[in-house]
Amino acid sequence: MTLTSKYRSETHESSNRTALPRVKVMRVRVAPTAYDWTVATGRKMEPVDLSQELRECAGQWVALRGGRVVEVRETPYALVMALHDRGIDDATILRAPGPAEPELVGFG
Amino acid sequence: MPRDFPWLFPYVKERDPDENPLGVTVLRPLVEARLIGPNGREGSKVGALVDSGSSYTLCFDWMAQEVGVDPTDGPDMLIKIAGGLRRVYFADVRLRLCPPETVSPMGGSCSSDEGLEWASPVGFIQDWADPPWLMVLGRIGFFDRFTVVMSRLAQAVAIEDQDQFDDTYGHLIPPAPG
Repeated sequence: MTLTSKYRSETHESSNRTALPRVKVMRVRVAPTAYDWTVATGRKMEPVDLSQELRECAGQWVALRGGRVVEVRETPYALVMALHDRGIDDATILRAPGPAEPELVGFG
Repeated sequence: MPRDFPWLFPYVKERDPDENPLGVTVLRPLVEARLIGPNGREGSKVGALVDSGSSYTLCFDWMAQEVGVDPTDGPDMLIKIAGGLRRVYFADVRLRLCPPETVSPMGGSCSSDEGLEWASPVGFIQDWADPPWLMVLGRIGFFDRFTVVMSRLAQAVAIEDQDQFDDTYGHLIPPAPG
């Protein structure tokens, strides 16, 4: 049986089944995966934690250098101009999402 | 001279679990990069999202002006981006990927001696007042230049040279006819 025919078969069978009763889920949390990479490998890659810096500048454009916010503006253009005025060319420009802003899950 | 591959970038933590209804830490595969114009002018160092879901490598439009490029001379198309339809003009520019040392913590010069440079068509998004990212590294312009491995488990993105995919998985791929 090819994968395609197996899929079709299962799809056909499932369409004949009686619908399961709907269960109201009271609490949804994403549990850690059964596979814990750190436990399995003994290694831990710490993410670059910018959550606090971004939270403090929510909804604005920030320039970060050495883990610290060096400039904040409402638009990226204004931020670049401010950095040019201060002679800063090694800061990294990011947008800090607002607290109520929907999380972006796909760009392209 | 840029350091040898692989380049390993830790993910960037954007939001804490208590800010997410599922209790998930929001982590992004984020690197740093600059545009380099045809006259060698360097653009600002920006956080760039590594996005295998994006067909193209895209930048905010003023970044073209910053490096002396007028993308409206090039081909354009409408692209649906982050839910909206936007006009994108393409231009050939150079990109410079900054080494991991500049990311953790963010900051570092990312000079031509340290960064990896390559030429690519880049799409410049027009008339977008508040884009979520200034640069998105997509399948054309980034994933066709490097072998990219992203692991949420390890919370890191590894960037290798082009031939690494064949070195790792080539034995699973049939030889080309002829």
